[in-house]
Amino acid sequence: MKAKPRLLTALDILSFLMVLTAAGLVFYYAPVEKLMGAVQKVFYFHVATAWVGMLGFLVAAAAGIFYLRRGEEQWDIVGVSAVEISLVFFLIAIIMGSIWARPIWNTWWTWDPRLTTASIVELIYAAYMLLRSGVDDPERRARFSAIYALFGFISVPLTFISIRLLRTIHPIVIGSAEAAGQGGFNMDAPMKMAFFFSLAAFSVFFADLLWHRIRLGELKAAVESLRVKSFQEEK
Amino acid sequence: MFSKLLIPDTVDYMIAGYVVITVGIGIYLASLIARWKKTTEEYRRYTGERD
Repeated sequence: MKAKPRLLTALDILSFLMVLTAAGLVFYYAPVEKLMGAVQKVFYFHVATAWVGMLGFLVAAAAGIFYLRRGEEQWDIVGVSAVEISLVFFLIAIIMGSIWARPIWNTWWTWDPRLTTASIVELIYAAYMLLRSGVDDPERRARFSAIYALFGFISVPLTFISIRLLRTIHPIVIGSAEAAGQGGFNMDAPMKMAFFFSLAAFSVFFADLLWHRIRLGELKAAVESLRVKSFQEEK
Repeated sequence: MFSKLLIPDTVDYMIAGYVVITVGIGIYLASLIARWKKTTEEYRRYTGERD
């Protein structure tokens, strides 16, 4: 069994410190937004977790391409690891968004284009995990997962651009001259600092979690091959 | 008279949001650790490897 790399331990420490610093910036450095009050601070980690979710789905699609080209099991492990982590972060982003919406939109949920497309993305990748577990043959499972991750990824940019193309109440804070939607706002310098640092911190945290999850996937694969070997020896 | 803007009290929602992210990530980390321990034990059972 491979020993834990020192670089991974360093990444553990770095990601912990970065997330902690991001929380410090959000709570103590970024000012309280005057129209929304303290709940606006949910925005920093809401966007960061949604970003990590989308990043993971992109990694899974890229891993799918590599698997289909090279046929190496390693890429299947990367793909499923990225999807698993992203599912968790994307679900957190959806729930945090719903909590923010309650005092701002006066409702926990509305079938707005962004909320609807985000829910579809979450369901598509939840189905990926369920369908994967239903295929026994490792090669077929990996090929199926690679193709599914590629097609499933179409839903991710659609979610990203949905608020820019369709009529929506979801605010566009980044890349918009005017803060649009209900609950939109313009960021001042400390807010931007907290926001971009949170994005960076969660990106590092994602890389750290992905590395751990890939190691777990490799260990599982090793156990599986040992199990098959011992079964054949018993026969 | 209207120069002082009242900031709405939405602290409870902010706390709820950060409880969700803390608990969510906490559960995921715990599941990763539990699965790692279980798989390591299995691996050692097959190979006879020790700490």
